[in-house]
Amino acid sequence: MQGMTSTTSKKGGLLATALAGAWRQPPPPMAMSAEELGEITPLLLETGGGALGWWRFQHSPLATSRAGRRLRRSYRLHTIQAAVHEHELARTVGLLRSAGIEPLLAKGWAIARLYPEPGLRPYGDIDLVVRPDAYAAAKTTPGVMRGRVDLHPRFNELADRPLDELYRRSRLVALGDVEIRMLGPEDHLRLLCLHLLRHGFWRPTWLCDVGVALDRLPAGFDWEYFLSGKEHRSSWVMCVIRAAQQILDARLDVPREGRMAVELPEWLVPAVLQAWGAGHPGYLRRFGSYLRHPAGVVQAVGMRWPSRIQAAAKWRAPSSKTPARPLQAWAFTVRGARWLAGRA
Amino acid sequence: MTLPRARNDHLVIKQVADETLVYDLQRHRAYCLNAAAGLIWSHCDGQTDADQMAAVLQSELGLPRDEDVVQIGLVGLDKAHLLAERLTPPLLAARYSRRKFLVKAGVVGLAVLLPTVISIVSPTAAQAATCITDCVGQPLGTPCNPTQCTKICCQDVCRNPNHPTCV
Repeated sequence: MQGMTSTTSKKGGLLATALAGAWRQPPPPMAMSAEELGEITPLLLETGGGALGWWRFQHSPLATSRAGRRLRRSYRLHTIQAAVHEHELARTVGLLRSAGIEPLLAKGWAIARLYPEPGLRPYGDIDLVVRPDAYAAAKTTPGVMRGRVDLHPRFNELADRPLDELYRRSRLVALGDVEIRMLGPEDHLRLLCLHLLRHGFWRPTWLCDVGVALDRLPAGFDWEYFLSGKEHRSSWVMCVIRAAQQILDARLDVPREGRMAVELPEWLVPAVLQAWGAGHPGYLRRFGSYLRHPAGVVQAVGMRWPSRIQAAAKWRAPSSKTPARPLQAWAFTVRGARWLAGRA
Repeated sequence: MTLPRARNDHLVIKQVADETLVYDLQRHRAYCLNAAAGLIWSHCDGQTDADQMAAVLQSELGLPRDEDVVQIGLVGLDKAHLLAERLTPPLLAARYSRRKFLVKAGVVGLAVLLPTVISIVSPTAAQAATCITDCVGQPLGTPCNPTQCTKICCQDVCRNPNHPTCV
């Protein structure tokens, strides 16, 4: 087990090396052997980093290696998928506006557009929030729920901010002939950080998103507003930013005074690299499906067991002294109790 | 012979360097046209004749001026449903195989220049996190098989992409 952990962490470290600054134009030069690239290419592909990997290595001798060719195929696929998503997004926003509904976009194209090419940051769904009183009408607007549109009446990660404030701070960005309304930079960066924490950092491109967002912070970025809200959450959001700086060479000139003077827990970076080296966590089946296959219950529990990052981010302020297993057990118990209560 | 017209409905097209990427919104399939195939497709206007096209391929890409090269490209475009009308049977694959042409031409390194239309398949659709288990009612090409996510939905069944029902 210790050997597997070391190998997994080593792979996570190689991923970090490959992706550090990879979102820049041009990306920073780096040297990696063909063997090392071959080792991490499957991880890049299964976690959505294939196109970004191609972007990093396309001008290196590794571009024509077997791994390089796989990354290039991924780049082609995500480039055309990005064009399809943009077409779908513009169409959907147009339909909703025709019905008198103003949607608010987060993640997806909202962050992909900040990369040198949108295809470098693949996404599967178009996440749109509409006001709660318009939610039912939005879901039944003809043509909207076709394809990969996910409508929401709120941003769960930003529940400590009024929706009216999110709309007030939103920006309109042109996509062809359509203007897309998206979260303001402070809200979007906070959402990216909290979303990543909720999922335990497992997808490396999510931390690249933080790096991209930091590189593209507008003048006058309101750090005070960015850190407003629940203090526990704000501390963890700053940890994500520090992690992006330490792991992926993200922008360093972020102030370190006051509420921003948060130190990374000692266990966090190793836990992130471990998660990256382990790759895609797999897909959850509905728990009830295991009733016919009892042996799968152990697997089902394992897949729902919160990571140390997930448990700590949800229940404790950042600390190097966070007890891992008791906190994970607590988080799992609470999650299970809520699931049972929901079914009662 | 006059080139047929290119299809332009329900397609999303993106030019990247010398490649043309196409997504078919009806069939949910993605294709990559190399420089020669993209050039032929761009001249599929129902008016350009094959000899004119062969001359363009020679001047732009250094390919042999040979109508067979054009036919190879048209066969690939036809298979990908990128032409407004399907090619008539006498023009189809048997006469215009790439291998026969390469043997005939006898030019080293020519293969990579010949018109090529390849299907772009996701190495693993797990990267989009939308792999499903039940293909009933799903569009052709929807990623499926959550364990590996290397298959696609074809006629309501999760199959390997090269299965006949997936064409």
